[in-house]
Amino acid sequence: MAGDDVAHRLRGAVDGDVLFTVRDEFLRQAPLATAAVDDLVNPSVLVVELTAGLRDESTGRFEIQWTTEGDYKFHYTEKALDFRWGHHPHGGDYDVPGDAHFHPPPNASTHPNDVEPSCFTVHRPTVLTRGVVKNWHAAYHDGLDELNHPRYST
Amino acid sequence: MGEPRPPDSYGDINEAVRTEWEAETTPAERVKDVIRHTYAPVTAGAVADEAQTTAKTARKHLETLAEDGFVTTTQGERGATLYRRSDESLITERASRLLAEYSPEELAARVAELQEKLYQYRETYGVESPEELAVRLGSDALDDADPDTRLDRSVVTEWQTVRRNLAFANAAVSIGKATEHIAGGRSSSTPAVNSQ
Repeated sequence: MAGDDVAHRLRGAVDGDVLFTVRDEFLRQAPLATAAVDDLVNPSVLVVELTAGLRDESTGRFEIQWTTEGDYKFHYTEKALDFRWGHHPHGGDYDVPGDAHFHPPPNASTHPNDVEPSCFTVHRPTVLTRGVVKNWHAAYHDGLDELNHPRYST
Repeated sequence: MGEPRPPDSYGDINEAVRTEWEAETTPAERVKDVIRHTYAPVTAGAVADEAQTTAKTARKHLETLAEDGFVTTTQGERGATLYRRSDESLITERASRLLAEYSPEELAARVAELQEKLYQYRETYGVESPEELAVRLGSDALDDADPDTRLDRSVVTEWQTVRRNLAFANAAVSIGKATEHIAGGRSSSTPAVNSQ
């Protein structure tokens, strides 16, 4: 994955069945997106290609992994812009409450001073996917500062 | 994505999403959604909290899902019934997914390829399992802090992923062959029991 040096933090096998669930939910919430697992027989990552980006004249993509241990990564990439939500219930890798965290843009920094607690507190595939799409939409309309903010006002 | 209309305001994104989800789904759908990826046994009450319904409603739907084979039940320490997704339904669901796209012969070729991959992992790292590799990486990481030579832990996840997907693909091959055999026996004039 682009700019990703923390792949080692995932615990357990990638749960292909969760990737299918997330794929289906993405397509319900963002019907214009295309979403596909890398390999139907040996699924290891879900790639969601969006028709727009958070900056002008750009298109974005999410790369998603989720393991049988409940670890997950939602990594977003577009031109010169990366960020990522992660959850590592067994890790305690970052000093943030609840093990769920956000690697902020522009480069999905893994520096401990940059990593923030995640705005997401519900860690189930369908509900989290809805949250990610909603937050992306908020950022699309009002700028990158909206990313990972639990509150939004138009 | 990229709709012209901004999303409605929300005070807390988690609450907003849960409220929408509840409005757009039935309790039965939410209970199934929650238990679908719950692999460790939980109480009906725990499912109810996640599914935003009452324990009574959750239990009713979980019992139906257990009768259908989607859910496995066990007895908890204090006699409470615990529920989790059944392995059988995970296997048959994956098999159906794979057999909708590939023939059993095509899948058998992929099975051989994944088996070769597992063999390569064992050869390359000199250990028998990804768990063994994880233990070794844990101790090596202390000695060898150079990121260029340090083995990436993602290999452990890759290996575990291949092993899990191979198990599903193997099951799909067997189910696919059995299905062909039974269907062949039904359509042929020769009784299936005598055909081989």
